[in-house]
Amino acid sequence: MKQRKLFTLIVLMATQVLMNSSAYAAFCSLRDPVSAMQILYKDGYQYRSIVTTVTEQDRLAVKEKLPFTIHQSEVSKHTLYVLYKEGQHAGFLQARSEWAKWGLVEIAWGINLDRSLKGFYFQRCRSPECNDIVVASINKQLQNKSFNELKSLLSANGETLSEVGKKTFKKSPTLALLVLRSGLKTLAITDISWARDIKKIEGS
Amino acid sequence: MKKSYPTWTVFSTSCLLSLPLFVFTNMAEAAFLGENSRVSIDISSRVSSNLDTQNHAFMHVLGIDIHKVFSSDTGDIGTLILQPYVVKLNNVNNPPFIFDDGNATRLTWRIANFNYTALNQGKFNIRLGHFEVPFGLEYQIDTNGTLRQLTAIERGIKADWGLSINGIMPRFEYEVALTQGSGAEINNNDDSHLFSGRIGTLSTKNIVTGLSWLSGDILAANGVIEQKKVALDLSYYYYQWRFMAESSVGKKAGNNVANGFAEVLWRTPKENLSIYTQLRYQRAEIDHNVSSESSSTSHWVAGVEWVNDHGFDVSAQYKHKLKEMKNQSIEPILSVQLRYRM
Repeated sequence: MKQRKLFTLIVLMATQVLMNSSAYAAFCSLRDPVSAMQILYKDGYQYRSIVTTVTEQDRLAVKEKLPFTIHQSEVSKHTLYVLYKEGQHAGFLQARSEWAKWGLVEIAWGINLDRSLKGFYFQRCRSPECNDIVVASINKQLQNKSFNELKSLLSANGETLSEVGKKTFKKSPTLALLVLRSGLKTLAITDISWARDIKKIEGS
Repeated sequence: MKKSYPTWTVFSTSCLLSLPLFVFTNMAEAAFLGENSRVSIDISSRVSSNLDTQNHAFMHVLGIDIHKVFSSDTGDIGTLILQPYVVKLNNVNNPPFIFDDGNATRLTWRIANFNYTALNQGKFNIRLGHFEVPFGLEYQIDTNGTLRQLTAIERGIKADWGLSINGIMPRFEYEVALTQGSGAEINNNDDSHLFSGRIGTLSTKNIVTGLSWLSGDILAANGVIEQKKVALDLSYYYYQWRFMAESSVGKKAGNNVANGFAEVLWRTPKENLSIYTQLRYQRAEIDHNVSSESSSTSHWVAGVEWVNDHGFDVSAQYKHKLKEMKNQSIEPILSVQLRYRM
Protein backbone atom coordinates (compact mmCIF):
# COMPACT_ATOMS: atom_id res chain seq x y z
CA MET A 1 0.00 0.00 0.00
CA LYS A 2 2.77 2.36 1.04
CA GLN A 3 4.75 1.47 -2.06
CA ARG A 4 1.77 2.25 -4.27
CA LYS A 5 1.34 5.68 -2.67
CA LEU A 6 5.00 6.41 -3.07
CA PHE A 7 4.85 5.34 -6.70
CA THR A 8 1.85 7.62 -7.28
CA LEU A 9 3.74 10.50 -5.72
CA ILE A 10 6.80 9.91 -7.89
CA VAL A 11 4.68 9.66 -11.06
CA LEU A 12 2.94 12.92 -10.17
CA MET A 13 6.19 14.71 -9.54
CA ALA A 14 7.75 13.37 -12.75
CA THR A 15 4.69 14.47 -14.75
CA GLN A 16 5.05 17.95 -13.40
CA VAL A 17 8.77 18.08 -14.03
CA LEU A 18 8.08 17.29 -17.67
CA MET A 19 5.74 20.26 -17.92
CA ASN A 20 7.23 23.54 -18.97
CA SER A 21 8.74 25.04 -15.86
CA SER A 22 9.12 28.76 -16.04
CA ALA A 23 10.28 30.10 -12.73
CA TYR A 24 12.41 28.77 -9.92
CA ALA A 25 13.03 32.05 -8.12
CA ALA A 26 10.12 33.94 -6.58
CA PHE A 27 8.98 36.79 -8.81
CA CYS A 28 9.35 39.34 -6.03
CA SER A 29 13.10 38.99 -6.58
CA LEU A 30 12.77 40.17 -10.22
CA ARG A 31 14.07 43.69 -10.65
CA ASP A 32 14.27 45.89 -13.70
CA PRO A 33 17.86 46.59 -14.82
CA VAL A 34 17.49 50.25 -13.86
CA SER A 35 21.17 50.80 -13.00
CA ALA A 36 22.19 49.38 -16.38
CA MET A 37 19.80 51.71 -18.19
CA GLN A 38 21.08 54.71 -16.30
CA ILE A 39 24.69 53.83 -17.11
CA LEU A 40 24.19 52.77 -20.74
CA TYR A 41 21.47 55.21 -21.81
CA LYS A 42 21.89 58.09 -19.36
CA ASP A 43 18.90 60.35 -18.61
CA GLY A 44 15.74 61.16 -20.50
CA TYR A 45 14.79 57.63 -21.48
CA GLN A 46 11.67 55.62 -20.75
CA TYR A 47 11.58 51.84 -20.96
CA ARG A 48 8.92 49.34 -21.89
CA SER A 49 9.06 45.62 -21.08
CA ILE A 50 8.29 42.95 -23.64
CA VAL A 51 8.12 39.53 -22.00
CA THR A 52 8.36 36.55 -24.31
CA THR A 53 8.91 32.82 -24.01
CA VAL A 54 12.27 31.70 -25.34
CA THR A 55 11.52 28.26 -26.76
CA GLU A 56 13.55 25.14 -27.48
CA GLN A 57 13.19 26.00 -31.19
CA ASP A 58 14.75 29.41 -30.49
CA ARG A 59 17.59 27.66 -28.70
CA LEU A 60 18.22 25.51 -31.77
CA ALA A 61 17.99 28.57 -34.04
CA VAL A 62 20.81 30.24 -32.07
CA LYS A 63 22.91 27.13 -32.75
CA GLU A 64 22.50 27.80 -36.48
CA LYS A 65 23.98 31.28 -36.08
CA LEU A 66 26.70 30.44 -33.58
CA PRO A 67 28.89 27.45 -32.69
CA PHE A 68 27.17 27.40 -29.26
CA THR A 69 23.76 28.21 -27.87
CA ILE A 70 21.93 29.27 -24.72
CA HIS A 71 21.62 26.90 -21.77
CA GLN A 72 18.57 24.65 -21.56
CA SER A 73 17.54 26.34 -18.30
CA GLU A 74 17.13 29.58 -20.27
CA VAL A 75 14.20 28.10 -22.16
CA SER A 76 11.64 30.14 -20.23
CA LYS A 77 10.23 33.66 -20.05
CA HIS A 78 12.59 36.58 -20.59
CA THR A 79 12.22 40.33 -20.88
CA LEU A 80 13.48 42.63 -23.61
CA TYR A 81 13.39 46.31 -22.61
CA VAL A 82 12.70 48.81 -25.38
CA LEU A 83 14.15 52.27 -24.70
CA TYR A 84 12.25 55.36 -25.81
CA LYS A 85 13.36 58.96 -25.97
CA GLU A 86 10.81 61.67 -26.66
CA GLY A 87 8.34 59.02 -27.77
CA GLN A 88 10.71 57.45 -30.32
CA HIS A 89 12.30 54.04 -29.85
CA ALA A 90 16.00 54.47 -29.27
CA GLY A 91 17.40 51.04 -28.49
CA PHE A 92 17.00 47.85 -26.53
CA LEU A 93 18.30 46.34 -23.33
CA GLN A 94 18.40 42.73 -22.27
CA ALA A 95 19.91 41.04 -19.24
CA ARG A 96 21.47 37.61 -19.70
CA SER A 97 23.16 35.12 -17.41
CA GLU A 98 26.43 33.31 -18.07
CA TRP A 99 28.20 30.65 -16.07
CA ALA A 100 31.70 31.50 -14.93
CA LYS A 101 33.93 29.18 -12.93
CA TRP A 102 32.92 31.07 -9.77
CA GLY A 103 29.17 31.17 -10.44
CA LEU A 104 26.51 33.10 -12.27
CA VAL A 105 27.36 36.34 -14.05
CA GLU A 106 24.48 38.63 -15.05
CA ILE A 107 25.20 41.00 -17.89
CA ALA A 108 22.82 43.73 -19.08
CA TRP A 109 23.32 44.50 -22.77
CA GLY A 110 22.46 47.77 -24.46
CA ILE A 111 21.60 47.18 -28.13
CA ASN A 112 21.46 49.86 -30.82
CA LEU A 113 18.56 50.09 -33.28
CA ASP A 114 20.74 48.53 -36.03
CA ARG A 115 21.32 45.61 -33.61
CA SER A 116 24.94 46.44 -32.99
CA LEU A 117 26.09 46.48 -29.35
CA LYS A 118 25.83 49.70 -27.38
CA GLY A 119 27.64 48.33 -24.37
CA PHE A 120 27.24 46.19 -21.27
CA TYR A 121 26.90 46.52 -17.51
CA PHE A 122 27.61 43.82 -14.93
CA GLN A 123 24.46 43.41 -12.86
CA ARG A 124 26.23 40.71 -10.96
CA CYS A 125 29.79 39.47 -11.24
CA ARG A 126 31.37 38.16 -8.06
CA SER A 127 34.95 38.29 -9.24
CA PRO A 128 37.10 41.29 -8.24
CA GLU A 129 38.23 41.27 -11.88
CA CYS A 130 34.82 42.68 -12.86
CA ASN A 131 35.79 46.20 -11.89
CA ASP A 132 35.05 49.47 -13.64
CA ILE A 133 38.46 49.66 -15.37
CA VAL A 134 38.14 46.20 -16.93
CA VAL A 135 34.49 46.84 -17.88
CA ALA A 136 35.46 50.11 -19.62
CA SER A 137 38.31 48.37 -21.44
CA ILE A 138 36.12 45.52 -22.79
CA ASN A 139 33.22 47.89 -23.53
CA LYS A 140 35.49 50.08 -25.64
CA GLN A 141 36.27 47.14 -27.93
CA LEU A 142 32.68 45.91 -28.24
CA GLN A 143 30.83 49.19 -28.70
CA ASN A 144 28.91 49.61 -31.96
CA LYS A 145 30.17 46.30 -33.35
CA SER A 146 27.74 44.22 -35.39
CA PHE A 147 27.04 40.51 -34.95
CA ASN A 148 29.48 39.50 -37.69
CA GLU A 149 32.22 41.83 -36.44
CA LEU A 150 31.87 40.36 -32.98
CA LYS A 151 31.85 36.82 -34.32
CA SER A 152 35.18 37.45 -36.02
CA LEU A 153 36.72 37.95 -32.57
CA LEU A 154 35.96 34.30 -31.72
CA SER A 155 37.62 31.12 -32.93
CA ALA A 156 35.68 28.84 -35.28
CA ASN A 157 34.44 26.59 -32.48
CA GLY A 158 33.62 29.59 -30.27
CA GLU A 159 35.60 28.24 -27.33
CA THR A 160 38.50 30.70 -27.52
CA LEU A 161 39.34 34.11 -28.89
CA SER A 162 40.50 34.28 -32.51
CA GLU A 163 43.91 35.76 -33.33
CA VAL A 164 42.20 39.12 -33.90
CA GLY A 165 40.30 38.67 -30.64
CA LYS A 166 43.51 37.97 -28.72
CA LYS A 167 45.03 41.20 -30.03
CA THR A 168 41.82 43.10 -29.22
CA PHE A 169 41.49 41.83 -25.65
CA LYS A 170 44.99 41.88 -24.24
CA LYS A 171 43.58 42.78 -20.83
CA SER A 172 41.45 40.13 -19.04
CA PRO A 173 41.05 37.80 -22.08
CA THR A 174 39.12 35.11 -20.16
CA LEU A 175 36.52 37.56 -18.91
CA ALA A 176 36.40 39.19 -22.35
CA LEU A 177 35.65 35.79 -23.91
CA LEU A 178 32.76 35.24 -21.49
CA VAL A 179 31.38 38.70 -22.22
CA LEU A 180 31.82 38.31 -25.99
CA ARG A 181 29.97 34.98 -26.07
CA SER A 182 27.19 36.54 -23.99
CA GLY A 183 26.94 39.53 -26.36
CA LEU A 184 26.66 37.27 -29.40
CA LYS A 185 24.00 35.09 -27.77
CA THR A 186 22.08 38.22 -26.77
CA LEU A 187 22.06 39.62 -30.30
CA ALA A 188 21.08 36.24 -31.75
CA ILE A 189 18.26 35.50 -29.29
CA THR A 190 16.91 39.07 -29.55
CA ASP A 191 16.51 38.72 -33.30
CA ILE A 192 15.02 35.24 -32.99
CA SER A 193 12.71 35.38 -29.96
CA TRP A 194 11.51 38.97 -30.29
CA ALA A 195 11.42 39.09 -34.12
CA ARG A 196 7.71 39.83 -34.30
CA ASP A 197 7.85 42.50 -31.57
CA ILE A 198 10.84 44.27 -33.13
CA LYS A 199 9.18 44.25 -36.55
CA LYS A 200 6.08 45.83 -35.00
CA ILE A 201 8.15 48.49 -33.22
CA GLU A 202 10.15 49.30 -36.34
CA GLY A 203 6.96 49.51 -38.39
CA SER A 204 5.29 51.96 -36.03
CA MET B 1 -6.19 16.36 20.02
CA LYS B 2 -3.35 17.42 17.78
CA LYS B 3 -3.13 15.50 14.57
CA SER B 4 -0.18 15.53 12.18
CA TYR B 5 0.13 14.08 8.71
CA PRO B 6 3.22 12.57 7.11
CA THR B 7 4.98 15.18 5.00
CA TRP B 8 4.89 13.03 1.88
CA THR B 9 1.10 12.60 2.19
CA VAL B 10 0.50 16.33 2.32
CA PHE B 11 3.07 16.99 -0.38
CA SER B 12 1.45 14.44 -2.73
CA THR B 13 -1.98 16.00 -1.99
CA SER B 14 -0.49 19.38 -2.84
CA CYS B 15 0.88 17.94 -6.07
CA LEU B 16 -2.59 16.58 -6.90
CA LEU B 17 -4.16 19.96 -6.17
CA SER B 18 -1.50 21.72 -8.17
CA LEU B 19 -2.36 19.89 -11.40
CA PRO B 20 -5.74 21.64 -11.93
CA LEU B 21 -4.10 24.76 -10.50
CA PHE B 22 -1.39 24.52 -13.14
CA VAL B 23 -4.02 24.30 -15.90
CA PHE B 24 -5.89 27.22 -14.30
CA THR B 25 -2.80 29.41 -14.04
CA ASN B 26 -1.86 28.76 -17.66
CA MET B 27 -5.38 29.72 -18.72
CA ALA B 28 -5.30 32.75 -16.42
CA GLU B 29 -1.93 33.80 -17.81
CA ALA B 30 -3.21 33.64 -21.37
CA ALA B 31 -6.75 34.92 -20.94
CA PHE B 32 -6.79 37.22 -17.94
CA LEU B 33 -3.28 38.44 -17.28
CA GLY B 34 -2.35 38.80 -20.93
CA GLU B 35 1.06 39.89 -22.17
CA ASN B 36 4.06 40.59 -19.96
CA SER B 37 2.90 38.21 -17.26
CA ARG B 38 4.46 35.32 -15.40
CA VAL B 39 2.66 32.75 -13.27
CA SER B 40 4.16 30.03 -11.13
CA ILE B 41 2.91 27.53 -8.57
CA ASP B 42 4.84 27.07 -5.37
CA ILE B 43 4.44 23.99 -3.13
CA SER B 44 6.42 23.19 -0.04
CA SER B 45 6.38 21.02 3.05
CA ARG B 46 8.54 21.59 6.08
CA VAL B 47 9.19 19.65 9.25
CA SER B 48 10.85 21.27 12.26
CA SER B 49 11.95 18.86 14.97
CA ASN B 50 12.82 19.85 18.50
CA LEU B 51 15.70 17.49 19.25
CA ASP B 52 15.19 17.80 23.03
CA THR B 53 11.48 17.09 23.22
CA GLN B 54 11.21 15.08 19.97
CA ASN B 55 8.25 17.23 18.93
CA HIS B 56 7.78 17.41 15.17
CA ALA B 57 6.00 20.45 13.77
CA PHE B 58 4.85 20.61 10.15
CA MET B 59 4.05 23.45 7.77
CA HIS B 60 2.59 22.82 4.34
CA VAL B 61 2.25 25.60 1.80
CA LEU B 62 0.56 25.86 -1.58
CA GLY B 63 0.53 29.17 -3.42
CA ILE B 64 0.50 31.07 -6.70
CA ASP B 65 3.09 33.62 -7.69
CA ILE B 66 1.88 36.17 -10.26
CA HIS B 67 4.00 38.89 -11.87
CA LYS B 68 2.61 41.28 -14.46
CA VAL B 69 4.07 44.40 -16.01
CA PHE B 70 1.55 46.97 -17.26
CA SER B 71 2.82 49.09 -20.15
CA SER B 72 1.74 51.89 -22.44
CA ASP B 73 3.00 52.20 -26.03
CA THR B 74 6.23 53.90 -24.97
CA GLY B 75 6.86 52.90 -21.38
CA ASP B 76 6.10 50.66 -18.43
CA ILE B 77 3.41 51.89 -16.07
CA GLY B 78 4.03 49.55 -13.18
CA THR B 79 4.50 46.03 -11.88
CA LEU B 80 1.91 43.94 -10.07
CA ILE B 81 3.01 41.07 -7.84
CA LEU B 82 0.42 38.80 -6.20
CA GLN B 83 1.41 35.85 -4.02
CA PRO B 84 -1.60 34.27 -2.26
CA TYR B 85 -0.55 31.21 -0.26
CA VAL B 86 -2.56 28.68 1.72
CA VAL B 87 -0.60 27.65 4.79
CA LYS B 88 -1.49 24.54 6.81
CA LEU B 89 0.12 23.99 10.20
CA ASN B 90 0.32 20.65 11.96
CA ASN B 91 1.38 20.14 15.55
CA VAL B 92 3.08 23.54 15.89
CA ASN B 93 3.64 24.45 19.55
CA ASN B 94 4.08 28.20 19.22
CA PRO B 95 2.38 29.17 15.98
CA PRO B 96 2.65 32.71 14.57
CA PHE B 97 -0.12 34.78 16.17
CA ILE B 98 -2.01 35.14 12.89
CA PHE B 99 -2.96 31.44 13.17
CA ASP B 100 -5.76 30.34 15.51
CA ASP B 101 -3.77 27.37 16.75
CA GLY B 102 -0.95 24.99 15.86
CA ASN B 103 -3.15 22.99 13.47
CA ALA B 104 -4.79 25.88 11.67
CA THR B 105 -5.10 26.55 7.94
CA ARG B 106 -5.08 30.07 6.63
CA LEU B 107 -4.78 32.13 3.45
CA THR B 108 -1.83 34.50 3.64
CA TRP B 109 -0.41 37.07 1.26
CA ARG B 110 3.37 36.93 1.04
CA ILE B 111 3.72 39.83 -1.36
CA ALA B 112 0.80 41.67 -2.98
CA ASN B 113 1.59 45.10 -4.35
CA PHE B 114 1.62 47.39 -7.33
CA ASN B 115 4.76 49.41 -7.94
CA TYR B 116 4.06 52.47 -10.10
CA THR B 117 7.25 52.93 -12.14
CA ALA B 118 6.25 55.42 -14.85
CA LEU B 119 7.50 58.57 -13.15
CA ASN B 120 11.25 58.81 -13.69
CA GLN B 121 13.19 55.90 -15.23
CA GLY B 122 13.02 53.83 -12.03
CA LYS B 123 14.43 56.63 -9.88
CA PHE B 124 11.15 57.44 -8.17
CA ASN B 125 8.45 54.78 -7.87
CA ILE B 126 5.37 54.50 -5.67
CA ARG B 127 4.45 51.12 -4.22
CA LEU B 128 1.07 50.27 -2.72
CA GLY B 129 0.06 47.01 -1.05
CA HIS B 130 1.82 44.30 0.94
CA PHE B 131 5.60 44.39 0.62
CA GLU B 132 8.77 43.68 2.58
CA VAL B 133 9.51 46.27 5.24
CA PRO B 134 12.62 48.08 3.94
CA PHE B 135 15.08 47.37 6.71
CA GLY B 136 18.55 45.83 6.75
CA LEU B 137 19.67 42.82 4.77
CA GLU B 138 16.09 41.70 4.07
CA TYR B 139 15.81 44.55 1.55
CA GLN B 140 18.16 42.94 -0.96
CA ILE B 141 17.79 39.20 -0.31
CA ASP B 142 14.61 37.23 -0.97
CA THR B 143 13.93 34.81 1.89
CA ASN B 144 10.20 34.28 1.35
CA GLY B 145 9.39 30.61 1.76
CA THR B 146 12.95 29.53 2.52
CA LEU B 147 14.30 27.92 5.68
CA ARG B 148 17.13 30.40 5.67
CA GLN B 149 16.01 33.63 7.28
CA LEU B 150 17.82 36.85 8.08
CA THR B 151 16.85 39.43 10.71
CA ALA B 152 13.09 40.04 10.28
CA ILE B 153 12.33 37.71 13.21
CA GLU B 154 14.05 40.15 15.59
CA ARG B 155 11.55 42.85 14.66
CA GLY B 156 8.52 40.55 14.50
CA ILE B 157 7.52 41.87 11.11
CA LYS B 158 8.74 40.96 7.64
CA ALA B 159 6.15 42.33 5.21
CA ASP B 160 3.46 44.90 5.85
CA TRP B 161 0.50 46.65 4.18
CA GLY B 162 1.03 50.26 3.19
CA LEU B 163 2.71 52.69 0.84
CA SER B 164 6.32 53.32 -0.08
CA ILE B 165 8.44 55.46 -2.33
CA ASN B 166 11.40 53.64 -3.82
CA GLY B 167 13.95 53.89 -6.55
CA ILE B 168 17.40 53.32 -7.91
CA MET B 169 19.66 56.30 -8.42
CA PRO B 170 23.03 56.17 -10.25
CA ARG B 171 24.92 55.67 -6.98
CA PHE B 172 22.38 54.48 -4.39
CA GLU B 173 19.03 52.73 -3.86
CA TYR B 174 16.30 53.66 -1.44
CA GLU B 175 12.88 52.73 -0.14
CA VAL B 176 10.92 54.65 2.48
CA ALA B 177 7.62 53.18 3.70
CA LEU B 178 4.63 54.11 5.77
CA THR B 179 2.76 50.94 6.67
CA GLN B 180 0.12 49.58 9.04
CA GLY B 181 2.51 47.74 11.36
CA SER B 182 0.12 44.80 11.23
CA GLY B 183 2.24 42.36 9.17
CA ALA B 184 0.06 39.80 7.42
CA GLU B 185 -3.17 41.23 8.85
CA ILE B 186 -4.85 43.53 6.36
CA ASN B 187 -7.55 44.60 8.86
CA ASN B 188 -5.82 46.90 11.28
CA ASN B 189 -8.11 47.09 14.31
CA ASP B 190 -5.27 47.94 16.69
CA ASP B 191 -3.47 51.24 16.72
CA SER B 192 -0.38 49.94 14.95
CA HIS B 193 1.68 51.83 12.39
CA LEU B 194 5.25 51.76 11.11
CA PHE B 195 7.61 54.20 9.44
CA SER B 196 10.67 52.46 7.95
CA GLY B 197 13.31 52.93 5.32
CA ARG B 198 16.67 51.96 3.95
CA ILE B 199 19.21 53.88 1.89
CA GLY B 200 22.04 51.81 0.51
CA THR B 201 24.68 51.51 -2.17
CA LEU B 202 23.83 49.69 -5.41
CA SER B 203 22.96 46.02 -4.86
CA THR B 204 24.56 45.13 -8.20
CA LYS B 205 28.03 45.71 -6.76
CA ASN B 206 30.21 43.29 -4.80
CA ILE B 207 30.28 45.47 -1.70
CA VAL B 208 26.87 46.68 -0.58
CA THR B 209 26.12 48.71 2.51
CA GLY B 210 22.97 50.32 3.83
CA LEU B 211 21.51 52.42 6.61
CA SER B 212 18.01 51.54 7.85
CA TRP B 213 15.56 52.87 10.36
CA LEU B 214 12.23 51.82 11.77
CA SER B 215 9.84 53.51 14.17
CA GLY B 216 6.31 52.59 15.20
CA ASP B 217 3.92 50.30 17.01
CA ILE B 218 4.03 46.78 15.62
CA LEU B 219 1.19 44.30 16.06
CA ALA B 220 2.16 41.24 18.12
CA ALA B 221 0.32 38.39 19.86
CA ASN B 222 -0.65 40.51 22.89
CA GLY B 223 -1.35 43.86 21.24
CA VAL B 224 1.09 46.38 19.83
CA ILE B 225 4.76 46.80 20.78
CA GLU B 226 6.54 50.09 20.33
CA GLN B 227 9.84 49.75 18.46
CA LYS B 228 12.51 52.19 17.35
CA LYS B 229 15.64 50.95 15.57
CA VAL B 230 18.50 51.99 13.37
CA ALA B 231 20.73 49.49 11.59
CA LEU B 232 23.80 49.22 9.44
CA ASP B 233 24.17 46.32 7.03
CA LEU B 234 27.09 45.17 4.93
CA SER B 235 27.42 42.49 2.24
CA TYR B 236 30.59 41.41 0.53
CA TYR B 237 30.74 38.99 -2.41
CA TYR B 238 33.96 37.23 -3.33
CA TYR B 239 33.73 34.55 -6.03
CA GLN B 240 31.55 31.80 -4.52
CA TRP B 241 31.48 33.35 -1.05
CA ARG B 242 29.07 35.81 0.47
CA PHE B 243 29.67 37.53 3.79
CA MET B 244 26.85 39.50 5.38
CA ALA B 245 26.44 41.36 8.64
CA GLU B 246 23.82 43.57 10.23
CA SER B 247 23.94 45.47 13.48
CA SER B 248 21.05 47.39 15.00
CA VAL B 249 20.33 49.36 18.16
CA GLY B 250 17.10 50.78 19.47
CA LYS B 251 14.20 50.32 21.85
CA LYS B 252 11.57 47.62 22.08
CA ALA B 253 8.67 48.16 24.50
CA GLY B 254 10.75 50.82 26.25
CA ASN B 255 13.79 48.54 26.76
CA ASN B 256 17.11 49.24 25.09
CA VAL B 257 17.96 46.50 22.58
CA ALA B 258 21.04 45.74 20.47
CA ASN B 259 21.20 43.04 17.80
CA GLY B 260 24.02 41.54 15.79
CA PHE B 261 23.83 39.16 12.86
CA ALA B 262 26.54 37.63 10.67
CA GLU B 263 26.38 35.06 7.90
CA VAL B 264 28.88 33.28 5.70
CA LEU B 265 27.53 31.48 2.63
CA TRP B 266 29.33 29.37 0.05
CA ARG B 267 27.84 27.97 -3.11
CA THR B 268 29.03 25.71 -5.88
CA PRO B 269 29.90 27.35 -9.23
CA LYS B 270 26.61 26.06 -10.70
CA GLU B 271 24.85 27.58 -7.68
CA ASN B 272 22.73 24.47 -7.14
CA LEU B 273 24.18 23.83 -3.68
CA SER B 274 24.57 26.44 -0.93
CA ILE B 275 26.01 25.98 2.54
CA TYR B 276 25.73 28.69 5.17
CA THR B 277 26.22 29.44 8.79
CA GLN B 278 24.76 32.29 10.83
CA LEU B 279 25.48 33.81 14.20
CA ARG B 280 22.86 35.86 16.05
CA TYR B 281 23.26 37.94 19.16
CA GLN B 282 20.85 40.07 21.13
CA ARG B 283 21.32 42.16 24.24
CA ALA B 284 18.22 43.69 25.85
CA GLU B 285 17.22 45.39 29.06
CA ILE B 286 14.97 43.15 31.14
CA ASP B 287 12.68 45.93 32.39
CA HIS B 288 13.78 49.51 31.86
CA ASN B 289 11.26 50.79 34.44
CA VAL B 290 12.82 48.71 37.22
CA SER B 291 16.54 48.86 36.47
CA SER B 292 19.02 49.07 33.63
CA GLU B 293 19.94 45.38 34.09
CA SER B 294 20.22 43.60 30.77
CA SER B 295 20.59 40.07 29.52
CA SER B 296 21.96 38.61 26.32
CA THR B 297 21.18 35.66 24.11
CA SER B 298 22.94 34.12 21.13
CA HIS B 299 22.66 31.11 18.88
CA TRP B 300 24.10 29.73 15.67
CA VAL B 301 22.48 28.27 12.60
CA ALA B 302 23.94 26.02 9.92
CA GLY B 303 22.11 25.11 6.76
CA VAL B 304 22.30 23.63 3.31
CA GLU B 305 20.12 24.17 0.25
CA TRP B 306 20.07 22.17 -2.95
CA VAL B 307 18.12 23.28 -6.03
CA ASN B 308 17.85 21.45 -9.32
CA ASP B 309 17.15 22.60 -12.87
CA HIS B 310 13.53 21.44 -12.68
CA GLY B 311 12.34 23.60 -9.80
CA PHE B 312 12.96 21.27 -6.84
CA ASP B 313 14.52 22.75 -3.76
CA VAL B 314 15.58 20.66 -0.77
CA SER B 315 16.96 22.41 2.27
CA ALA B 316 17.92 21.57 5.83
CA GLN B 317 18.88 23.77 8.74
CA TYR B 318 19.96 23.27 12.34
CA LYS B 319 19.72 25.88 15.11
CA HIS B 320 21.60 25.60 18.38
CA LYS B 321 21.94 27.88 21.41
CA LEU B 322 25.13 29.53 22.55
CA LYS B 323 23.69 31.56 25.40
CA GLU B 324 20.14 31.83 26.71
CA MET B 325 18.42 34.88 28.12
CA LYS B 326 16.62 34.74 31.48
CA ASN B 327 13.21 33.07 31.15
CA GLN B 328 13.74 32.39 27.46
CA SER B 329 15.05 29.10 26.17
CA ILE B 330 16.45 28.36 22.72
CA GLU B 331 15.53 24.85 21.59
CA PRO B 332 17.76 22.84 19.26
CA ILE B 333 15.70 22.72 16.08
CA LEU B 334 16.41 20.66 12.99
CA SER B 335 14.30 21.70 9.99
CA VAL B 336 13.98 20.08 6.59
CA GLN B 337 12.01 21.48 3.67
CA LEU B 338 11.02 20.16 0.27
CA ARG B 339 9.86 22.83 -2.17
CA TYR B 340 8.80 22.74 -5.78
CA ARG B 341 8.08 25.63 -8.15
CA MET B 342 6.64 25.15 -11.61
